[in-house]
Amino acid sequence: MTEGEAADRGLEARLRAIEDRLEILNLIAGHPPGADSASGEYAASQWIDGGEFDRGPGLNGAASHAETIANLAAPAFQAAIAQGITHFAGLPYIEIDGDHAVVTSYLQVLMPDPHGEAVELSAHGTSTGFRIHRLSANRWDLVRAPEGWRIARRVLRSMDGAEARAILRGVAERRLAAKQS
Amino acid sequence: MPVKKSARNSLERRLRAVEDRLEILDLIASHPPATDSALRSRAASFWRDDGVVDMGEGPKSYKAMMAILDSPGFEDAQAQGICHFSGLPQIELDGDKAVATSYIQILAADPKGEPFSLSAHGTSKGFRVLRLSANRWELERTRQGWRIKSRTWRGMDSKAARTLLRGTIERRKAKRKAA
Repeated sequence: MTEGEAADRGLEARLRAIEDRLEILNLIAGHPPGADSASGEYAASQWIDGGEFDRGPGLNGAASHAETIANLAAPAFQAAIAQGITHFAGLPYIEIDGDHAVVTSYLQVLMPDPHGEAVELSAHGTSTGFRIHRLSANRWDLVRAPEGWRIARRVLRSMDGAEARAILRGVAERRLAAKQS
Repeated sequence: MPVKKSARNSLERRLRAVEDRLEILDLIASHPPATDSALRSRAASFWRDDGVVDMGEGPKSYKAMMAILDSPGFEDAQAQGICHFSGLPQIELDGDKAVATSYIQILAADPKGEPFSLSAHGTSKGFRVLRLSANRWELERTRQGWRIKSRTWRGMDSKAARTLLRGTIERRKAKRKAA
């Protein structure tokens, strides 16, 4: 291998790492539009078959990915859409390790405030506001599939419980473990 | 086919700029999980040793802010569900320096909230936005990677926040003039 070829190979690996990161950002950014439009097809395309969904005992909702897709089509979820459900994602933190990745992110579930007093914002009209119904820490375990990065497992916990802190602490613990090895 | 050397230099520069940008995104994204789980050593690792924070009362060492993470008050804040929620940062790269401008919400569970229900999602007393700020992060490339040199924080209900935000436009104008 010539020096030029070696340098090209280095460029290729770095470009691949960048593409991975951007694809994963996009995957996470794609979750709210998929959920808020109840697109089962979209939700299905983001996951591997048999993907695991763990929201703990505290939160209502699906316990597996297959159930999530079924739930999106159910009348109850359509009612949530009619209420104005909005998933609002924070900036995800991404750790890539070969063909696996872990993403840690915060997610708000918002809806119009049913009890809100009208407040006026100059040049923007009057609003009874939106409320944050849920606030969660999320851990997404991703795998590189032949079609691209896919979700193998998602764990979410409400921010007002101790388990959310464990998800967040995981970021530092993995980093420490990587440094030591 | 091997790439020509001149083309490779240009590719190298462009690739480096993309890598810098992603590393800075990473730095901004990793700040909330470290803070919210009170991992002082992790939070401290983002900073240059002489890094400063300015929360509106003038600059002081970032270490003073880190001490909050160890206080009993912060433990209570965690039990209340404290969450730093970051918007998408705007990043200006300039060689070995960079400025990131971002919005951050500080949220917590609302103990007095009137319960409200969302179909298929149960009932909640809700979470509230307790603070909403504009942030300017001045970053520097060090041997260990990008590190924070200073962070300026201004509440969105202050004039100073607007000045901070206008900085993104003013720096852009100045850069254009210089070029």
